[in-house]
Amino acid sequence: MGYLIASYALVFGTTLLYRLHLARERSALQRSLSLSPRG
Amino acid sequence: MNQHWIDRSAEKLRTPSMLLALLLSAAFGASVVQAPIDSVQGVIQKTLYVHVPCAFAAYIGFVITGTCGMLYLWKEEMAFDRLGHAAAEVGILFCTLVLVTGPIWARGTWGKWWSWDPRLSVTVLLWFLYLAYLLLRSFSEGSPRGARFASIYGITGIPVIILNYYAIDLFAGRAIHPDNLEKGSLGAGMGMPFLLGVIAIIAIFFHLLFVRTEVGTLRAREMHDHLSANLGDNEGD
Repeated sequence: MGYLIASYALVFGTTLLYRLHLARERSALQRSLSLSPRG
Repeated sequence: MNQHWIDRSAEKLRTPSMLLALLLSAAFGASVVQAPIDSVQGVIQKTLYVHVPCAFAAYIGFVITGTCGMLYLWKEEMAFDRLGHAAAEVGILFCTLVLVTGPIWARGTWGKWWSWDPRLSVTVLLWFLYLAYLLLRSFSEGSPRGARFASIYGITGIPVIILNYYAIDLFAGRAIHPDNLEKGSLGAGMGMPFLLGVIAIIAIFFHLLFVRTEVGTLRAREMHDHLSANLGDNEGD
């Protein structure tokens, strides 16, 4: 049962972390573009 | 920069994250509670409900990369290149999850973490192939020459995906990995929880793909602005 929970936790955790990473990068890029003279 | 239809669609089609988290929780819940326990392998067989959907997501990602490669070579639109790059990144994420959940399942069933079985070996090959693709992209981001080379590379990856899927049939007798689903390897009562798992993982795949595509477009816009500003400075000098 422990191995099964580990598999599920890995899938859930990894996709969540990747989603958070993308959200952070997107915010940083949007901020940078809005600050640029052409933004 | 005008917004390409791919970027507009990516923004519109993105599913809310909370809905996806609920969907994934429901899928996990169904596979733990509703799905029957396999009489031979026991409870560890339930890894199937995440392992196989992750493999499907990886396949979809790599096929999108190859298709976008063809479309980029035909249309020469950078939006196809950005989508192909995003699909390879999200695809390798799911391929990594396949390579991690697989050994967990193997440990519980075969008693060992790894075996150089044809399916497992070709999956490792596939993972390295797309890792190399991402390395190539990191050295040539935004360059049309890099995009052209990556497109060709992405297209040549498609036969390896097909080889990966049919590896068990091709090396029959030497494979210990379970058969593909069309051979009836799914037991009674496993269909519905499995389908729910596939829907949840594929929905997450496309959600991540659309967000990653948006990030790629923003990166390209930032690079474009940066280059334009530098060009303006040089002309001023």
